[in-house]
Amino acid sequence: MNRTFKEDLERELADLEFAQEFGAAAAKSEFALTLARARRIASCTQTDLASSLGTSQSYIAKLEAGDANPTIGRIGKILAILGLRLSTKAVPLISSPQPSIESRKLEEADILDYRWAGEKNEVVVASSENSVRDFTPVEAR
Amino acid sequence: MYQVDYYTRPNGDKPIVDWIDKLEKRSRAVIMAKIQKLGEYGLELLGTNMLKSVIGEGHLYELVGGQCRVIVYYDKQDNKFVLLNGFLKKRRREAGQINEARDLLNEYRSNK
Repeated sequence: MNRTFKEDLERELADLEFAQEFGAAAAKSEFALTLARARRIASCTQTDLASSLGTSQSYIAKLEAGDANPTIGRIGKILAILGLRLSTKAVPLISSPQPSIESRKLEEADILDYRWAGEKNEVVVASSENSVRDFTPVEAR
Repeated sequence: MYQVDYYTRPNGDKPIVDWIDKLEKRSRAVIMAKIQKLGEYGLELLGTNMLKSVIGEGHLYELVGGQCRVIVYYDKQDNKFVLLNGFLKKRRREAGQINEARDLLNEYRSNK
């Protein structure tokens, strides 16, 4: 039987218990990405953030691994340290992300250097060869 | 979105599928959520602690989901991810599992 990941996931999601666990893990993973991006844009290390939050660097690493389960309040505190606030939206359990840098082939070098583009609310992804601008508002990611 | 495939050996075996099937439901949900994120965001996950490069092997990565680890190959030519094998994080066994992934990767490349 030629099983595919997509088909296996769709079949598993028919089980409500699995779907809930999947949803929890997906939410933590989304926050991990959001936090890692925000921290990099703010030029803040995991150690810096941990110090401001009064926690350990390993906790921040766990958050960015999508393995921690912070309260909504704690998420608000973390983002506030980075000058941000939480904006949420519910999307289908399996959906494509907003058009972004993943729509093109990425070299590892492409994602090593994020820099904040200031008032325009843009993220610029710098590449070693040519820069690719992603004009998706940060909030929409 | 990136295509994410299970690696299928020439004899039809899919080591990663066998491993995922044996996980209890919660772990299976967690690692499948991480695989889904890999399909959505690709190598951008390297900016988080969810994906790590395997030292000494280009385009071979370790996807982290709790205690679960999945070794993934990024096939740059086809712009897709190939799931090779998986294991539970236990220091003594890790090197062996990564070596097994390297063998599977060599097999994948030679049969491509």
